[in-house]
Amino acid sequence: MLNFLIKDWYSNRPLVYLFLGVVVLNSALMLGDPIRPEELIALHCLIATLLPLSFVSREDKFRSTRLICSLPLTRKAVTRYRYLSAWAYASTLGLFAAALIGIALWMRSELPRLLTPGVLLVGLTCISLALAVFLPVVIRFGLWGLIIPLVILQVLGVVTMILVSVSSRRLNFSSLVVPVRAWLDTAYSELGPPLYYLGWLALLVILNLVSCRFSEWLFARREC
Amino acid sequence: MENVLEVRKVRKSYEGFVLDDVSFSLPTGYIMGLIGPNGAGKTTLIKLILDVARLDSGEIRVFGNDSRFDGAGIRSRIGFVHETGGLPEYLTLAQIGAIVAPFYRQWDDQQFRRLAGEFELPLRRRLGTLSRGMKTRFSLVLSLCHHAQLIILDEPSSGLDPVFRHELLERLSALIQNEEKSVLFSTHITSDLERIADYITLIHRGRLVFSSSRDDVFENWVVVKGGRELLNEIQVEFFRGVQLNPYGFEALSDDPAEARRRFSSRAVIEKPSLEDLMFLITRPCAAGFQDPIVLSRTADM
Amino acid sequence: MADALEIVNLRKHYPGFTLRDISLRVPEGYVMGLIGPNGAGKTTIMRLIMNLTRRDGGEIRVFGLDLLEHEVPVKARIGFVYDEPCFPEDVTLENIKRAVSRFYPTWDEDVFGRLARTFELPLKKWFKRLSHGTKMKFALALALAHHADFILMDEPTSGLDPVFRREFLMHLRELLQDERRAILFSTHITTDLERIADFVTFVRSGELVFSAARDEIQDHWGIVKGERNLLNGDLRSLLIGARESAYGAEALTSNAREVRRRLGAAVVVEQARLEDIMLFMERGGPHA
Repeated sequence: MLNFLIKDWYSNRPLVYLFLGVVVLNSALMLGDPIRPEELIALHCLIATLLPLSFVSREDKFRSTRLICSLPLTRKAVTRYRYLSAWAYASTLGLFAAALIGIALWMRSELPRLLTPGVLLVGLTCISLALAVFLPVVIRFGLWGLIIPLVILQVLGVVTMILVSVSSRRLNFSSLVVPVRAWLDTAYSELGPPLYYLGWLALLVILNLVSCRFSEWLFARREC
Repeated sequence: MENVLEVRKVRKSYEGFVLDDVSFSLPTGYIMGLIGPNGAGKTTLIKLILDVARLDSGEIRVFGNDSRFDGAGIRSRIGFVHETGGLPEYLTLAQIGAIVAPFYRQWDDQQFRRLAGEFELPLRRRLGTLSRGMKTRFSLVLSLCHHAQLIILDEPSSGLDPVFRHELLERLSALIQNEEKSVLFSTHITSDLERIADYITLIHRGRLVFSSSRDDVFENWVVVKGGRELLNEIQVEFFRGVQLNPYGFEALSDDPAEARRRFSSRAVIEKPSLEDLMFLITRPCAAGFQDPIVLSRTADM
Repeated sequence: MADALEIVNLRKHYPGFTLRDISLRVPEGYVMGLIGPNGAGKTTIMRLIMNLTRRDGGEIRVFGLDLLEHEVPVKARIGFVYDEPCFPEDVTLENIKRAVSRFYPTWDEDVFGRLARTFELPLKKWFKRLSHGTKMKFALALALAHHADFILMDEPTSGLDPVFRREFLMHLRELLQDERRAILFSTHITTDLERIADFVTFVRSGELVFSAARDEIQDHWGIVKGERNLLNGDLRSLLIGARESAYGAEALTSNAREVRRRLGAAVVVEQARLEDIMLFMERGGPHA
C-alpha cells in the first residue's frame, strides 16, 4: 500500500504541487470574500478528488497502465490500492484546505467552529460521492471517462437554466436546489443523534465498497 | 553534373557535440549508406544538407548549388523520408497528399495516385490507422511525387520486419536503375546496406572514419581473430580497434597487407561486416583495453 | 532441464486476428528469439505472457507455476521491456525508478546505478526528452535491476545502433551464466538472433511455423537452387515460395535432407538464414 502511495507521489509530483497551489489561492479568498467557509471546504473536497482521478487518467494517457499491470501485483490489488491511495490523497488535500481556510479566518480574527461533525460529514460525503462515481469510469475509460461525464453535467446545467428562464412559471429552478440546500443547512447547524452520523458514514463506506468491487470487475477485463 | 552531393570540411558544434572536418561526395545515380553509432552526428549532417541547421564552417553543395543560398530550391528537389514522418495522423492519405502538393512546383498528382496504387496504400484511410510499415511506404511515396533527384532516408527501417525492409530496398534499387536519382540512406540495420549501397560513409563522434565505395571498404579493412597471446603491446597499436572475448580477440585493421604479413599464419583474417566495422571502430586501443565485455561489471548479480 | 517458460496451445481471438494453438518452451539457461512479420502475433504472445490481455485458451507456466494462479511471484521474477515505452512522460528517470523499484523485493540499487552509468542515462531528465534509443536503454536498466530470472523483451533493439546492440547482446549472454535464467525476445533484426539465440520461434499470421533449436533449423531448412524444370513435379510439395528467373529457380524447403536425397547433385542446397525463411514464406505459400 505504502509502495502505491509513493508510486503515485513520484509519478505525479508536479500535479500535487499544482493542486496545493490552487487550494492556497482559493483559501486566500477567505481573507476578503464573504463565502461561507463550510461550503468552501465542501467545494475543496470535491476539487481534491480531481487529484487522484487525474493520477489514474494520466496513467491511461501515458499507457503506463501496462507498466502497473506488469508489476508483481494482481489486478485486484491494483484496484484496491488505487481506491485507498485516492482516499488518502483526496482527504489529505481536503484537510489541508480546511486548515488553510481556518488560518485565513483566524487572520480575519473570526474563528467559527470549523471542525464540527457537520463539516466533516459534508466533506466526506463529497469525496465519497465523487470517487465512487468517477473512479470506475476513469479506471475503465481513462481521461475521457472524466471529461465526458463532466461535460454532460455542464450541458445539463445549462439546459436546466435555459428551461428555467424559458418557462419560469412551471419549473422553479430553486426547487431543484432547495432539498440539497436544506440538507446542508441542517447538517451544518444541528447536532443530530450520533446514530444518524454513524448510519450516514456506514452508507458512504458501503457506497465505496460497492464502487471498488465494480472497478475490480471492470479492471480485470481491461486490455492493457 | 558529376556529384549530386558534395560535403566539404563541414563543421558544426552544439553544446557537448562537434561535427568536424567531414568531407565526402555522392555521385549522381548511386546509393550511399550513412552509418555510425547513436550520437555520431548522422541526423545533424542530414539537417545541414537540408539547410534546416546552420553550418559553422565548410560547404555543402547539393545539385551543384550551395545549400546556404538556395535552401528552398534545394529542398524542392529532395525527397525526405523520416522514421516518424511528422505527418498529421488524423488526416486521410489523400488529404495529406493535397496539403503537401502546393509546396512543390513539380508535384505530380498522377504519379502520386499511381504509386499509391502500386504500394497498395488505401488513400481514404487515416494515417493513424496504418501500420508502421505502411506509414513508411506512404512517406516514401510522398517523397517520390515531386520528381526529387535526391532521396534522403533517415532511419526509415526501424520497427519494420525483414519482408517490408526487403521490399523497400528493392524499390529503392529499382528507382536508381530507372532514373537519374540518388539516395542517401541512414540506418542502424547495416546488413540492409551491404545488399544495396554503392558507397558507405561511416562517422563516429562527429568525425569521418571513411567514405568510400562498398568494394573498397571490404578491401581496405580486415578483421583479425586470434588467441590472446598474439596481442602484445606493439601489435595492439597496429589496430584501429580491439575487442577481447572469451575465446581470444577480434581486431580491426585498415592495412590488410601488413595484417596478413604479421598474422596470416597464426590468426584468422576476414573481411569485416559493416556491423563488425562499426563496432570495432568504437573500441580504439589507444584508450587502453576495454573490459572484454563493457557491461560485465554489472553481471555479478 | 527445467523450463523457464512453457506455453501450451495458447489461443486468443481479436476481431480480424486469431492466435492459434501456440506451444513453445524456453528451457532455463537459454535464449529464445521470436520472429515473424509485423502483425504476426509476437506482441500478442508477449502481452499474454504478462497477462495484459486475457487468453481464450491454453496454458502458460513460468518456472513451472501457472501464470494466473501465481501472478505475483511469477511477475516478481520477470523483467520486461515493451516495444513502446510505458512510462509517464513528464517525470524524471530518477523518479520513475523510485516509483517502480519499491514493488520488487529483490531490487538492487547498485546494479541499477551501474547500468545507468554504462548506458549513460540522464537520470535528471524527463522521460519524454530522451531519444528512442535512450528510452529503450532505460527500460532495459529497469528490467535488469531486480535480478529477474526470466527476461521478456518485445523488440528491445529496434532503433538502437549496432554497437549498442552488440554490447547489449554480450551482456545478455553474460546474464545467462547463471543457469536459472532465461530470455525471450522478439526482433526484426534477425542477424542479432543469429548471434545470440539458442532457440528460434517463428510465427506468421497468428500461427506457429516452427519453434526449434537453431542448429535444428539449420539442418532442416535450406534454399534450393537449380534449373527451372527441376523444381517442378512431385518435388513441388517440398518447396515453399519458389521463384524463377532467367538463370534458374530457387525455393525454400523445410526438408533439406529429403531434397538432397532425391535430387543429389542436380541442385545446390544452401543453408537458409532466418531472413531468407521469412522472405520466402511471405512471397507465397507452398505451390505458389
